Amino acid sequence: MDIKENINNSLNIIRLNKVRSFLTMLGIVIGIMGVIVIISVGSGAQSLIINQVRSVGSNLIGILPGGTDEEGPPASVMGIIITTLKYDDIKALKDPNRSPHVEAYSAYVRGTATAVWKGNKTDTTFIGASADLPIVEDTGVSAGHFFTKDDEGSMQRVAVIGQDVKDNLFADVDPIGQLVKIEKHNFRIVGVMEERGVSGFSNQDNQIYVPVTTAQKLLLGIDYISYARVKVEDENNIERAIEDIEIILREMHDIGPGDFDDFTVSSQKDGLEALFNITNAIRLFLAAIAGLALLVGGIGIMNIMLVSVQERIREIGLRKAVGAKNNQILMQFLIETVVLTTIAGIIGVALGIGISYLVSIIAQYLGFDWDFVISIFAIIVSVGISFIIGFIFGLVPARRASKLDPIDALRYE
Amino acid sequence: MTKKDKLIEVKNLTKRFVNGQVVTKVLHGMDFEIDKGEFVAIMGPSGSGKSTLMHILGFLDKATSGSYHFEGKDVSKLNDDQLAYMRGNKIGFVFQSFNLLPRTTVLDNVILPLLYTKMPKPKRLKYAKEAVEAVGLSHRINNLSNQLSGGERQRVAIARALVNNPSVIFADEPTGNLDSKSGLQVMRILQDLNISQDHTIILVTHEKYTAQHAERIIKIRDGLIESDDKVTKRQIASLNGELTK
Repeated sequence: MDIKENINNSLNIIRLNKVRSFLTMLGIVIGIMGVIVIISVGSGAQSLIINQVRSVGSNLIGILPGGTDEEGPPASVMGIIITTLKYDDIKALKDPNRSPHVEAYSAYVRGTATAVWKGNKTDTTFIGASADLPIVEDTGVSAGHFFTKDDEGSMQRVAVIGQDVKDNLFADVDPIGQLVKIEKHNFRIVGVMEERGVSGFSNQDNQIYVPVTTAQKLLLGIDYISYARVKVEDENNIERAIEDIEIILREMHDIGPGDFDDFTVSSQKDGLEALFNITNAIRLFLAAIAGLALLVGGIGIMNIMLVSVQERIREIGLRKAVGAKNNQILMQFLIETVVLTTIAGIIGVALGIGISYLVSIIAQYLGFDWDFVISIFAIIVSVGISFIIGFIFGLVPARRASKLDPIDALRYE
Repeated sequence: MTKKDKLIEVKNLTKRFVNGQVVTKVLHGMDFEIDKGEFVAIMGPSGSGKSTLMHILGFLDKATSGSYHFEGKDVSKLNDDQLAYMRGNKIGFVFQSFNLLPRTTVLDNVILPLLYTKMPKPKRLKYAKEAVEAVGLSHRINNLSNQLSGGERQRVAIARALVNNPSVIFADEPTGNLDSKSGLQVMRILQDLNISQDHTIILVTHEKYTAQHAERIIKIRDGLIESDDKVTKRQIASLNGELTK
């Protein structure tokens, strides 16, 4: 009996025991499905974040508080608050002599609040930014104007609202010139942003933009900023602009030669790399958890195969009585387990692809910039792992079957 | 018909079973020979050791002491794989409880011993079909084993025992689970195989009537041979009376 006949034989036995085979395979099916879904949906989410970052523009430089060392990106990436970056630091960056390549900058703070106009309320995100935000983020207003450098310098209570905020609060009323209440302070609306759509996980149309200085003092009561963006006039000068910015910031922060920076200046490219690293780590972690399910599934298979050997003791005895060698019995049971787990792996891959595809359709329907990604590598590895699981967990039952004494086996009731 | 070729030669054969501290002596030293083409019945009450003897003769078990030569070969010197080879190529078994693979076709049951040989597939199919035909079940060849009557199942088991053209067929109480008509049919097939095709058959039974279908009866009691005689009034199971010697 060669391998092909053994496989046919196994398929027959699986067909004859449909329900049991299905239950046996379930653990592996779910485990493999989990791995595929996590890898695929993870890739989709990663593409979403990265598309978003990329869409901001390739001639941008980001400035974060906190230094970058060998251990990785600054803690502020993880949401830990560092208060060392100030508004004045960013203001100093636009200097025609010291940093000739800087075209525009914006400092940022943000928070959530309820905006109220004449009894209408809406929950929204307010963003404290600089007057050059439209240049930095490559956007503009659809009505009125963005707030000015003077507004920013003198902490004016002016606001530019997003499209959704306008729809929620004012409906058909022209909002320009109206007073909207944010956190007990009245802001005069000077402009409405053009429609910007969903970016990443946030709806950019449900936002209110106010001068960063006003947001710091009135809305948040802080004297630092969260991050800043600088636009460089030409993509090719990014490296030089970064150097210029670092020199200015070191001076502002009184950092002596040989001391470490307490800020991080990075280009789009650096940021993308960092994001890749973080999201990859998360995906690996999740895939490892799905891998645990596979291990449990494998133990389940071993359990069922041991029962199956017990149930088929007489069959094994008969096979030995008609001339089967121990090795041939071993091979028969091993191949049966491997065929079982490999089928389970293929079903798991198919289900995983189906679910991932469904997730991507739903995400795209909801307006997210979501790619459906299935890696051939993940499929091959999954089926390979199923095969190996069958081999490892099939070995014990198969050995037990092959070691049975033919007379005891034939007499077994 | 020549009966000079020695097939089985047993000398002072003993068998002990050790179960923990308890030692059970089952065979106390047996001597006999069986020639090619013989039809021998091993007869004895239950517990006499006849099944143990058949297991040893059929390479399923090993003797504790004494010698067993099969076709001149010393069986005690064979390893597990060689014993498996002997089982697969030199003998065929027919069991009291048929031992067919459940939910498997007649053809697949009969072909089973050939799966463990190096025979190419077309040849296997040919031999299996011939064996099924020899027991008169060609019309049932694609039926599942559990769709057959008891008598038909035992005939499938005989076909399975025949398929590798063995030197000897061991039948262990082959009629034990059958009604008398089916039992007679099975005995007729065995006699036919012996008489017209010169197959060597060793029948294990506790029934005198069944044993009398053989040409020689070895009676066993308490692990010893009580008698070893030619059958004087042989029962012929043939319904048309053509089988004579």
